[in-house]
Amino acid sequence: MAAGVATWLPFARAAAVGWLPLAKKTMPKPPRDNSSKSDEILYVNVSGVRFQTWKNTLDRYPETLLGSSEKEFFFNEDTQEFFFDRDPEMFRHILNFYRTGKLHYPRNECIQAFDEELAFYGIVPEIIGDCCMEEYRDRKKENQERLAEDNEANEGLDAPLPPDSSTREHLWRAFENPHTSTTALVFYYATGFFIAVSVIANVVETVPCRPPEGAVKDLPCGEKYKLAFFCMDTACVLIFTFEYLMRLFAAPSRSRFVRSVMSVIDVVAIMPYYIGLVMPDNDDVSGAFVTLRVFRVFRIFKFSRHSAGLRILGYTLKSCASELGFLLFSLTMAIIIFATVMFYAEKGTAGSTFTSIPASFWYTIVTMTTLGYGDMVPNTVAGKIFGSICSLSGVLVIALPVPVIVSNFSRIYHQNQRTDKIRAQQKVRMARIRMAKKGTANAFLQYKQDRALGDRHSNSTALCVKNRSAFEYQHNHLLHCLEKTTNHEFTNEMNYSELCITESVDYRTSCSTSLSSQQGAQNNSTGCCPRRARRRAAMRLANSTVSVSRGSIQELNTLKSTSIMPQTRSSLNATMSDLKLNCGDPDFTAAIISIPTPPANSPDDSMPPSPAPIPGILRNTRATAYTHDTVKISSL
Amino acid sequence: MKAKNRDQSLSDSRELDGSYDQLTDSVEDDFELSIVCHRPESMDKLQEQTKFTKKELQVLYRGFKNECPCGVVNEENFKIIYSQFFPQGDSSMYAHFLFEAFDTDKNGSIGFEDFVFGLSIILRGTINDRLNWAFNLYDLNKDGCITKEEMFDIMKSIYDMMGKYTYPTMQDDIPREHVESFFQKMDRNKDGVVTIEEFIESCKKDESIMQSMQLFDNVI
Repeated sequence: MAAGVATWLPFARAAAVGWLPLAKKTMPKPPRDNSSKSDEILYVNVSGVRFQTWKNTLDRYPETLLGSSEKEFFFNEDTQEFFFDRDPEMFRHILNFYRTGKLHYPRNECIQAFDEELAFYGIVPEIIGDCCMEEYRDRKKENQERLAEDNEANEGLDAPLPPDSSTREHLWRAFENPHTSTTALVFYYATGFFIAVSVIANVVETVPCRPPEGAVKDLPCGEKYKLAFFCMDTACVLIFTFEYLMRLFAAPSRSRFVRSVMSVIDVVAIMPYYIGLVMPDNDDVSGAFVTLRVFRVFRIFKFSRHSAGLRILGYTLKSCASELGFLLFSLTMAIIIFATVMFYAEKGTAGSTFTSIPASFWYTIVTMTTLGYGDMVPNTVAGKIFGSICSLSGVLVIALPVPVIVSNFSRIYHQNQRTDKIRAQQKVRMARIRMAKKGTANAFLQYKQDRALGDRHSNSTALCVKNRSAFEYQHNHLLHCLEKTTNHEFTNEMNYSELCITESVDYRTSCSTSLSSQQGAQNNSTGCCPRRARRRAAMRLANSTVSVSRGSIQELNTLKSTSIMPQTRSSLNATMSDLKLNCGDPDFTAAIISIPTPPANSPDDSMPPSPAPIPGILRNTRATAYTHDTVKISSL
Repeated sequence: MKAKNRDQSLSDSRELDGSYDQLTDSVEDDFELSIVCHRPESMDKLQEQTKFTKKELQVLYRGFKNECPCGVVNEENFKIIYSQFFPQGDSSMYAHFLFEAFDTDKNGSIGFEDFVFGLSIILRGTINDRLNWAFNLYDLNKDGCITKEEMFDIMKSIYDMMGKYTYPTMQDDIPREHVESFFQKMDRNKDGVVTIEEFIESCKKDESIMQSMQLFDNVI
């Protein structure tokens, strides 16, 4: 029921006096109203902005947070008000909903933030008023599409496969994403080259060449150098066939692949050749065969695998199918009408080219599209009049659906651009997040080092024991407990690269050297471990650690689902699950992470595994401890 | 009767006023209703005229003004609001009768004063007041007596509010039967109409009706 209707309830109950004398039975007792009769003003403090409202206003919607007893959880006894640590700007709209019964969507707010606020206050978004519902729906759909695009971009089409995938999967990925490996890239360019060669050959073989000695007539080059062209054609077709078969083999779903557009194009491109092979060298049949050769030109469509623009064009045409269909239909109608009219107008004249209505079709089409070849021209006055009407209307009919198609194309094109842009930005973003993680990992190691130092030299602490907040201490202690629990320890990249990970797919790695024990400890750099094993092990380690702080869970999940293992070694730090501050900056919110500036860490990325862990590590952590420029990034 | 006095006073005031312009009056009325906000009399006056306390008046007015920012409710809105309480059936007829009963100055809209006066009589009035008000509701043409047809209309409108899905299922002749039994109870002198005295007397004698009067406790 609408909010205000609750106000009229007493009235409706009073109006029941009309039933009283007519009632066949006694009326039931009215419900006991235990709540306080007098209406009181409630104070709601949202992040410092104080709102006041009647209790009755909030009670209108008992299924929401503010209307139910849930708000008691937020009651502050000292100030006798309800305190919410949320956005006061948004709260204004929420409160207006209680007051007016209509929920409005503020257009300048982010749709996700708004949704979250609604969820917090227990309000279903479906009750947004009609005035704002359309806008809300549109924005929400747009946002979802955007997120879906992001996820797709994240899905790491570029990320390497898990190592235990079959050859088939590798092959498929190589075909779909040529950038993943050099062989794939080579193959990609090779096929492109051969497509071009094939198309050019098709074109050139019809060009008239100088006739051979003795003959007068010009021969097309295809006849003159028959063998050469045949060889070239064979080579191209062989390559295309090979490619097609490989794709068929590698496809995860063969039936779906066979039905896809690209595969159809592939087949159409190579079929004429094989048909030509099996066709006997018969004159009449070869006439039909020659027409089949036309299909060779479809090889040009194979370029769409290589060009995104071509794909976009194809996609646009597909999505504008209805507009195109309408265009076609209206044109057909107009053509038939005008052709009929012109035919009957020109019927009488001698030598008229308008021999039949279908013959007039040609004239109509040429006129409506403003081509005007002039091979068919009306001679009678009536014919000329109708001819001019025809050309005028042609312009209109064609001009109408075109903007729709154009706008569709533009939208799809921009979407595509955006996807690429997002992908590029994503890489940068991931890189910065990885750096953050590295920073926090180093902070923890720093803590352990300090503790170790503190153990040894009881009174003084090492150089960089900064003022750590209680939060940091407790967090570090927690991580330490976790280490003790799992009997594994956190390390950073430099250590990790020197640690020997025993090569086995199945059991966990034991990165067992910790900084504290490494004071003067030996270095386990016993050779290079294959990258794959390291990554595998690192991933297992990541799975075993637990993320603690609020923001980190999100990040860990995102990182896991995204390219958790990109190519560079710095990704190894993605194993660190804790998001902590580096010493020196006690302000912490889940949404903002302060990370040290790159300079201290960047040498890590480029540095090969060097056999000098201790000074390197110390340098590393110390350096990170000293840099104060912070780069704020949001935790996704 | 009260009704007659009202009409009389209305026409008197119009003549005395001299501002009654036959041509433009109706147009002006519409104009007023749509644009001009109606303001009620001051709270003190209302407090004198009704039996509500200041706080109650405040609560009532706040709710009223929230629903009708321009201060008046016309019949359409009234019907819509009332139907929200009875979603299963069709309450438009009964709402119409209620509207007629509340709209004491017969200007086609209920202002806050009408609203509050009516409520005051029903909720805070004596038993006589309430029965008077109910009689006024039933007496559709305000001629001082309830005929069987009037009663039948009222009864039908009440049964309409029940809707289709009732237990036991609604038979078509039930309203008619109910009217008959009502008249049997109320019409003392069996003249086919019920006057106000008969009505009040019979209701006071009826135990269940008297007991049901407690329905109006705690409404506000």
